[in-house]
Order: sequence, then C-alpha cells, then structure tokens
Amino acid sequence: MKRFKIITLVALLLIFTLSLSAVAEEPQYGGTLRLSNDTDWDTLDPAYSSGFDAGEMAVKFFDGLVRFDYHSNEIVPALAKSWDVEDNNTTFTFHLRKDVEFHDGTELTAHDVKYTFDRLYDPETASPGTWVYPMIEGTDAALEGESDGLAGVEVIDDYTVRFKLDKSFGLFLTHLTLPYGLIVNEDIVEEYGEDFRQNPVGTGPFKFVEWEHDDRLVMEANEDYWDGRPYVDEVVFRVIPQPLTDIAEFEAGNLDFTAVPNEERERWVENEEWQEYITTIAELNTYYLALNSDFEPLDNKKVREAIDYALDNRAITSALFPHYVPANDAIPEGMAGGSDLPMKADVEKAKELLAEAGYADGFELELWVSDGRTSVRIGGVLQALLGRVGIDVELIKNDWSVFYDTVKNGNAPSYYLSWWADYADPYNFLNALYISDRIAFNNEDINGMLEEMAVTTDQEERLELSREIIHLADELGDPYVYLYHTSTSSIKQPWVKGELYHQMYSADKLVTWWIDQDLK
Amino acid sequence: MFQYIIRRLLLIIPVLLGVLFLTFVLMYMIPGDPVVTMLGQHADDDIIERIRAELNLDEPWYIQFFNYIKRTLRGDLGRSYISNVEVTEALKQKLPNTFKLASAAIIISTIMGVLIGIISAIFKNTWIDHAAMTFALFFISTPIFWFGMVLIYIFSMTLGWTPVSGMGDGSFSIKHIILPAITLGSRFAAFLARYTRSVMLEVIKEDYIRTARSKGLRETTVIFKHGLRNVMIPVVTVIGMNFASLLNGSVLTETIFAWPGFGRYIVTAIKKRDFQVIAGCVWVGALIFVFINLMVDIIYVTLDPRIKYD
Repeated sequence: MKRFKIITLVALLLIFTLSLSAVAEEPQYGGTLRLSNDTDWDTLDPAYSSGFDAGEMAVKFFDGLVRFDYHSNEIVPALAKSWDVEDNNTTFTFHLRKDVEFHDGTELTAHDVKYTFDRLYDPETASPGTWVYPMIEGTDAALEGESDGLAGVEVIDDYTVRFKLDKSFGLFLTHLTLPYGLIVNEDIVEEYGEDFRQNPVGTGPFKFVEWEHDDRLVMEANEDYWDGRPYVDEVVFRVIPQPLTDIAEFEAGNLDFTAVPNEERERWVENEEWQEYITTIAELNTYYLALNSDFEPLDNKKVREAIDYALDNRAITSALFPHYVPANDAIPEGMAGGSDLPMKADVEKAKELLAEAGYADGFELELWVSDGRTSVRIGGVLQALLGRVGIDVELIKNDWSVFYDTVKNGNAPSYYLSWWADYADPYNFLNALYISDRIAFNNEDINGMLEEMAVTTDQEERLELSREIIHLADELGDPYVYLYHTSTSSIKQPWVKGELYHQMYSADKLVTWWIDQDLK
Repeated sequence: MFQYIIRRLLLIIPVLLGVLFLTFVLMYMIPGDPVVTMLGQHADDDIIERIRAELNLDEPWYIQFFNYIKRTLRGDLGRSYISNVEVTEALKQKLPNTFKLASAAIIISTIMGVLIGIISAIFKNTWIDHAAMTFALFFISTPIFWFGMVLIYIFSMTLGWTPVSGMGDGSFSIKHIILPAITLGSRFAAFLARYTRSVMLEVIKEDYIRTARSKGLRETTVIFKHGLRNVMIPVVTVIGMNFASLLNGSVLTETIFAWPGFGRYIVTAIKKRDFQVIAGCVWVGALIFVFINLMVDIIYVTLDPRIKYD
C-alpha cells in the first residue's frame, strides 16, 4: 500500500511538472530582444535594399503582398488575403486586407501597392531592384521615362489591385517576397524625402524607434499589427563588427541570439551545455571557381574539365571548413533541383586531359580573389592543387571593389566567388550563373531551358529542367568548378523561444520570437 | 604671438587644399566603382549609369574637385553615396566618440609613459629599469587586436568588471571606455616610456641639474621641478602628434570594442569607395592634425620661455 502511495505521489509530481512545463511553453509577451549585426545597414528603404542586411531589416518594418511562411519555404498571404491567377499565369489579382494601417495611422489601400511598384520603376528613384519585376507590363516604358507609372499595375478598387505580366512567369509570387516588393505609402515617402531611408514607416510588426549609425538600431512592437502584435516589446540590434567580440557579448549574457564565429564553432558546437541551444542550417549559396572562356586556354572544354578533376572538393572542404558541405553542382544542400553528378577528383585524369588538350606541360593562369581572409586562403589552396597538374597559377589579390569591377566586366580569366540566393529556387542560381557576361559562356540550349524554367508554374517541371541544365553544363565542360556550400551555426540563450531559423534572409519578421521570463 | 597664430591659421588653407587634391587624385587612380558596390550584383547597367550621372561621377575629376571645394566652403560635405546620410551629420556623431576614446587613451598613456620613463631614468641600469623597459618592449611589440581580446577575456569575461564592448547609452562612461582606451594607448605608453627615459637621461647630465643638486635641493625637487619641465618640451611634441594619430587611426580598437567612431567610419567608406565620405573624413582629419600641431607650438611657449614666435 505504502509503495502504491509513493508511486502515485511520484506520478502526480511528474504530471504537475509536465503541466508546468507545458504552461511555460505558452508564448509570453514582453521583454527586450537583444540581437546584433556585424555591419551597419546601408538603408531601411525597401526600394534600395540590395544587400542582405538591408532586406533582412526592411521586413521588420514593412510587409509585402505575400511572404514566406515562418516555418517553411512556402508562400503564404500577407497584405493580400487572397489572389486570383488568370490568363495562363499572366494576370494576378490581389485582394487586400481591410484592417491594415501604416505606423502613422494611414490606412493601407491598393493605391499604396501601385505607388510602390511605380516608384520602383521611376527613373528618379534609380532603384537597384529593377531586375526583380521586369515581367510586369510597362516596366521598360516607365524606366525610359515614357510613361507615368506602370501600365501593368492597375487599381481596381481600394482593396483590389491587378498585375499584368508580359509573359507567364512561374516565380512571380516568389519574387513578390523579395524586399523590393514591400509596400510603402506615397505621403509618408514624400514627407521624409531623402531621409525616408533612415525613417522606415510601414505596416510591419515593428515600429522604428532610433538608429545610431554603426552603433545600434532600436524598434518597438507595433501594438496594432494586423497579424497580432509581436511577443517582444522591443528589439535592440547592436552593430558589433568583430565576431569574437560578438560571441564574447553573448557569453557575457548581453545578447540573446547570435551566430557562432567559424573559428569558435568547434568550441561551441561540441560543448554539451550549449548543444541544445545551437542550430546549424545549410545556407542558400554556392562557392565556386569560375573559368572565363574569353581567355585561352580556358575556352578549351578539356582544359576546364582538367581543372575540375585537379580540385578535390571533399579534401578542400574537410581541411579548411569541416562544417561546410562539398559541392557537386550549383544547388546547395537542402534545396530541390540538385543533380546526382559525382564529385570529380583525379589528378592523373586531369593530367591526361591537359595532355589531350595540348597542354601537357601546363600553362599559366591568372586567378583573381578578393582580399577577404577566406578568399585568400582558398586562393592559396587552389594555386597549390592546380600546381600539381602543371598549371602555374598567379594569384591576384585585390580589395572587393577592384576585384568585383574586374570580374563584372569579364576581365578576370578565373576567379573565386560565390552566389547567394535571393530565394530558394534553382532558377535563381542557374540563371545568375549561366547567363552572365563574366564568363563568356553562352549556350543556346541552356538559355532556352532557363527560359522554360522561368515560364513554368509546374514545380516538378522546373526541378527536372534544373537537373537537365546541370548535366548539360557538365557535358559541355562546366565554366564553374563548384567547391562548397556554407552552413551557419546560431546560438540562443535558454530563455529565447520561437521559430528562429529560416534559410531565407527576408523571411523572419521576429514575430514568433518570445522571451521566457521564468528562465531569464 | 598673435600674428604667428594668424599666419599659421592662413597656412591651413593651402595644406587642406593640397590634402584634398591628393585624395581626389588617389581616389581616381584606384579602380573600383562606388555605384557598383552600392547597387549589388544584380543592378541594371542603365541604372548604374543614371546614378553615376546623378552623383556627377561621370564628370572629369577636376570638375568634381572644383565642385567639391565649392560645396565644402559653404559647409556642405555632401551625403554618403551608400547610406544617403549627410557626412556632416555622421561626423557630428562619430567625431566626439573618437575624441572621447583618444583623449582617454592619451591621458592614460601619458601618465603611465612619462612616469615609467622617469622612474627608469632615475633607476638607470637597475632591475627596475630593466623590468620597465622589458615591459615597454612587450607592449610595443604586442598586436593591438590580440591585446584588446585578452583584456576583454580577463576584465569582462572572467572578472566581470567591465562591459565587453560598446559605448553604453552614449554618455561618458568610465566602465565602457577603460578597456578600449588602454588598448589604444598601450603602444604609445610603451613608446613614451622609452622616449621619456632617453630624454630624461640627457637632461640629468645638464649643468642646471648639477647646479640644483649642488644647492642641496631634494632629489624629488630636482627631478620633478627642474628635470621634468625640460623633459616635457620634446615629449609634448610627441604627445601632440600621437593624439592626432589616435584621433585619425583608431580603427582596430573601434572594431574590437564596437566603438562607433571616426576610424571605422572612414575605413568602411574606403572599402565601399564612398568618395563623399572619404573626402569629408580626410578634410576633417587634416584639419585636426593641423590644429593639434598649432596647439603644440603654442604650448611650447608656456613650457619654454626662450621660444618666441614673433
């Protein structure tokens, strides 16, 4: 009997503890979230948000018609509560929510949507984001100054707006998630004028409070946010340029969440005390060595293949970045559309191919890298590995501005660079890489398939085309030797809860984050 | 004296023009395009051209130089190409921060450097002298970056006495400034200790010191009243020049301690080819240099009555 009592007592205690922890998992309102960034933001105006940092911040103050789901790469309604797609994917009619206000109390209407896109294509605005929506009717005319606004964006009534596209574009909704598509209000933009870039007033979950450049940016919860106010009252972003200082601030308990610096990854990831608070996610990028066919002998398919065989991606990645993933093609891990191409690593085969191409004694090659620490390290490794097959690499190191200028104008014979995705679709990688003036690789078949990829709304078809393009490029002697895809480890304090990790930089609006006051 | 100051102030004009001219020419010679940096990898070529025209970057350099001088004389340093923030506004925010840091660094390093230098000279060739000079050599050879991180580890992480980084709420806070000031000033303190020691050793040999001693004055009076005053003349020059350098070149310390100052501002601008900011910073930096030099010259007169500028 006594034993039964003890068991009952233990069971009751267990139920009590479990129910307590279940209660504790109910999100709590309040508190200040302390985050950091390694650089100051160039702008908070969506129309100029060309960098990841700017875009990541803009989504906190503004909303788009649609957005990424907080838990997946799916597209869900935002300012538009629904939409109709007609005319073979060329007409999109969006029905707006009626309960949305800008931070100054102005009501959101379809005129704001039209103004946002007109402004983006107004030559006076000179936005770097005009590449995002060229499929909307009338963008060329607007950019040339021949029309007042976009013919393809039409206000039907205060809460309905219609987009007409020149041709079917399968990724139109995806493109609307990009920060350039965040909705702004004409009166507010004009009121602030030049200073709108530093005074973001949108419909987003957070209201702007203050921004001390290079030091801190503060925002507070928008109590009237149409999707329910965020859990935290305030978010303070500090600018901490040095990653080791940043992680020291975290360790001292002054930051709630941060990225673990690469040089510290082992120490943190292998620390049992912190393991459950660390999450590692694959990033949407690809790092590569590009070979420009405008320069001899890189125009020779066999030479390009030889270079591919000479570089052992697995060895490079495990030696330099044990947390990264070696690449077999452009598509990063965790994203559909990648191929089953094997990784090539065979020095003898490389030498054979060079001999067949008539370069048995090797040749001299200029390799351009930027002066970032990783670039210089990789440059040295590539130089050594290519040296083994007789290719005498001259490493040309420059600061980013000079390096990028040279690469962009097609003046670098070979260079080490990366592509970071604007959104999670293989089209964004393949289109940027294979239709480019930087490498003089212009293959009609690939271009045609890329066009098909752009038009189709059938996801399976797009993924199949992606795999075909990758295989064809490989058969033609790929102008890119894909090296690796990065991953990042983030660490949070035990009291920080919520949906904190998303592969897309523009997905997180910080509305799911909350602070468990009992743990703090 | 008054005429001398006016003359020196007038000399500032050609110096500043020369500095700006050189900066403009250098920026022109360095490849790299601010507009491309600003717009990112996707930007449309037409837009790049349009912005370049809007910012007058398509004009020949001498026209840009002339326009810049014209605007600067009106007190307008322009807006950053990248962030669109007025350079004057940014400088108003960042210069005081760097000024606070450099002042704290120069005060700490002067007190430490001069004191150690004098003690070393007094105890020449004893273990005190050897220990002090070994210490000085250590700090001269220590990379600032490493030293700053070690200070953070000991005082912020282990002992918890100071914050890790930042300026706090922006007002003057000894807790926030002490580690960056020591980091920034350490190398100069070490240099100053060695320099003060060698000057002091020269001064001690002078006749007036012998006279002072023969009068039966206490050794401390001899050293601190008669010796120190003469040591200070060359030492003040060095301090003045270094203060100007610290104001202009504290980028590493500002980076380690996330201090939003002038050094980080100009280095970021150089990386992004933000000409407007670079020119504004160089202009202001040169002005600081020239003024501090002038101040040093004026301080000479009070330290050494034999010096007369008229």
